[in-house]
Amino acid sequence: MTVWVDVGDLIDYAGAFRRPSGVQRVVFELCRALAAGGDAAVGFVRHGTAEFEPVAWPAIAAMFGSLNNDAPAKAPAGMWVRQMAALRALLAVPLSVLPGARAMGAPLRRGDVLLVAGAGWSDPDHVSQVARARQLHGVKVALLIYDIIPALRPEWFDPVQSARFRNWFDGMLAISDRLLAISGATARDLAAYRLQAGRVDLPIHVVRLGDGLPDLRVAASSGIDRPYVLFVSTIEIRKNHALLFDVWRRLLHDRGHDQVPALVFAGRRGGLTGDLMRQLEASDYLDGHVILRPDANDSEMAALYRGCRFTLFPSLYEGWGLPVAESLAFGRPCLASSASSVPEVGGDLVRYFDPLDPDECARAVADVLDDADGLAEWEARIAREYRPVPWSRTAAMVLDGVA
Amino acid sequence: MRASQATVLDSVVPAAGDLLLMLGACGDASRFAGNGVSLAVLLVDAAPILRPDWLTASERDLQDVWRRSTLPHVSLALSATGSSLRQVGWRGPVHEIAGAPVGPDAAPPLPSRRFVLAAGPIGAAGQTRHLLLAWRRLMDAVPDRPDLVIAGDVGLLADDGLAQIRNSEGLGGKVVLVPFPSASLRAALLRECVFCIAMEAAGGWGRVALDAAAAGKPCLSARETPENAAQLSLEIARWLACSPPPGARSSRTWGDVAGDVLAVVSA
Repeated sequence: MTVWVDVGDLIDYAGAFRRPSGVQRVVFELCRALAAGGDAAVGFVRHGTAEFEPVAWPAIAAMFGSLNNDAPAKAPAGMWVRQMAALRALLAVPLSVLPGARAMGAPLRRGDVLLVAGAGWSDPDHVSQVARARQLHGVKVALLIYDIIPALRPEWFDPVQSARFRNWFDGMLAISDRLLAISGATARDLAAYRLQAGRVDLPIHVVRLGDGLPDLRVAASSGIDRPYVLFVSTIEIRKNHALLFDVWRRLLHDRGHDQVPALVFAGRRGGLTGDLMRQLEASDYLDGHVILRPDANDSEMAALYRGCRFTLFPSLYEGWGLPVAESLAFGRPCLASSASSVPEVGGDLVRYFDPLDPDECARAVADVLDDADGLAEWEARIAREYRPVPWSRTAAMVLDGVA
Repeated sequence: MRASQATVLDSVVPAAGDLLLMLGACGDASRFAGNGVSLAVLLVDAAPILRPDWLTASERDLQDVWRRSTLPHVSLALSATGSSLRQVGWRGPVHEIAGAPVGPDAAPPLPSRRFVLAAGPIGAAGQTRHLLLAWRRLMDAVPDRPDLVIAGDVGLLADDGLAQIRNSEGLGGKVVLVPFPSASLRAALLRECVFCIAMEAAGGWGRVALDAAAAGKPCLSARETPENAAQLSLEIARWLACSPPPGARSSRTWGDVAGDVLAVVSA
C-alpha cells in the first residue's frame, strides 16, 4: 500500500502567496516528515488536467522553502514570477527522484490511500477529482481535518468562503474512508456535526501535530528596542485582537505609559478587522504601544519570539493553536485562550483566560507584569518540562490512522 | 431671566446678559462668547470624550476644535454623563441632569415571537461585538431560549458587527437586526419583548433603560458588564432563568428635564 498525499493546494498556495499561513505550514511539515520517514511507501500527487499525477518532493520543498527565504515579502513582482516559473519546471521531475526511490510505478493503485491533508476547499473541482480517483482506482480516501469553524461560526467568514468550505467538507465526508482530526476539540466538533448530518459510521482518529521547529536562522534582532509582549496570528476577527486592544487600553490607563510593554501583532491582515484597524489608527496605535509586523519571515519571527517577555494567544476558536506550541518551543511563557483546542496544545505549561472576558485577561497580564520572579520561574519550568513533539511522530500517527 | 419667563425665539442673537445653552456638540461657538454672553453646555453623550478611538479623523478634529475654542468660554456645565467633562479639561462644577423616557404610547402590533430586545446604538457604543459573542455562547449553552432582536441606530464602528450578522444570516436566523427603528416600532418591540437589554455605553442618560421602565419591561443594563461578553452572557442567562421584575416606572417627562435645565441655568 502506498499513501499518496495530495499536495495540489500547497503548490497553488506557493504560487499565489509569499508567506505561508497556518494550514500550509502544517501540511508542509507533515509532508517533509512523511518524505523523510521510515518504511511506509509515501508519494505526493496533485491533480493535473485529467488525473492525479506524481510530484517529486524536492520540487515541493524548493517551492515552499522559497516562501520562507529572507527576501522581503514585497519583492519585485518580476523576480517572484521568475522564481515561481523556475520552480514550476522542477515539478516535472521524474518519479525516480522520490525519497528512497521506491518502486511505485503508476500512482493510485487499488488499495492505496489518497490522503487529503490540505485546504482543498479553495478548488471547486476538488471533491469530484477525489471521488473520481476513488471510483476509478479503488483507492481509499483519508481526510485530515483541521477544523470546521466556517461551518460552525459562519459569522466570521465571507458567505461565499463558508459556503465553499461547507460544500467541500460535506462532499469529502461522503467519500472519505478514514477520518483524522488534529485535536480532540476538532474531533468533538466533527462528531457533533456528523450526528446532525446523520453519518456516524467512521471512527475519528486524533493525531497530535508536531511543534518541533525546523532549524532556523534567527534574525539578529527583532528590531524592537523596548520590552514587548507578542501575539502571533493573522489579524482577523476570530483571533480576537480586539480583546488585547481593550486590555492594553485599560493597562495604559491604569498603570501609565511607562509601565506597560509594547504589544506586537505579528501576522498579516485578514477579514473583518476594519473597525479594529480604525480604532488602532484613531488611537495612534495606543500612542505607539501597538506595533504591527505583517510580513515577518521565519527567521524574523524567531527573533520576535526570542525577544519577547511572553506571548498572548486570545483566539476565540481554533482547530489547534500552533503559536502556543511555538511559544513554548522558544521557551516563552504563553497566556492563552481557554477556548476549543487551545488547552490541548500547552497543557499546564500555559496559563489560560476566557477570551470573552477582558477583565480576566487584564488581570492575567497584570499578574505576569508584576511578578518578574514568577515569570522567570515559569520560563525555567518550560525549559525543564517542555518536550516538543517531532513531526516524525505526527507522520507516524497519520500513517497509523490511514492504514 | 427666570425659568418661568423662558420664551422661544425665532432667531438667535445672543445679547449681553444672555446665556447660550449648547445642547450637545456645537462645533465652534466661541464667537458668541464675550460681550456679556455666557456659554453653558449640556453634555448628553460621553462616548466622543471617553472613546476617541471610536471616532473618524474628522470627528476627532471637530471635537478638538470644540475643546480648544469653545470649552474655555463655558461657564456652566450640565451633564447626563457624570464626570466625563473632566477628561477634556473642565474644572468647574458639573450639574447632573436626569433624563426621561421617549416614545409614543401607541405602538403597532407585532407577530407573536418570543424574543429578547437589545436596544441601543449598533456599533462600538452599543457593544455589538460583545453582544454577538455573548449570544453565540448562549446559543451553545441554553438550547431553549428566545431569539434576539437588535434594534437601534447604526453608529460608530458598526461595520464588522453588521457583516457578522449578514455573513451568518443572523446567526442562523436566531438574531434579527432592526436598524434605525421608528419610535413606534421601538415602542412595539419594547412592549412585546421578554425583557430588554440596554446596549448603551456608560455616559449618557440611559435612554433605553428609561424607555423600558416606562413600558414596564425588565431591563438589563450592559453598563454593568462593560465590554465583557463573558459577563454579559452570564447575566443574560441568569435573566432567562428567572423572571426579573420590571424597573420602576418613571413619571418624569421631558418637561421636567427642561425645567431642571432651566432651573440650573437660571440660578
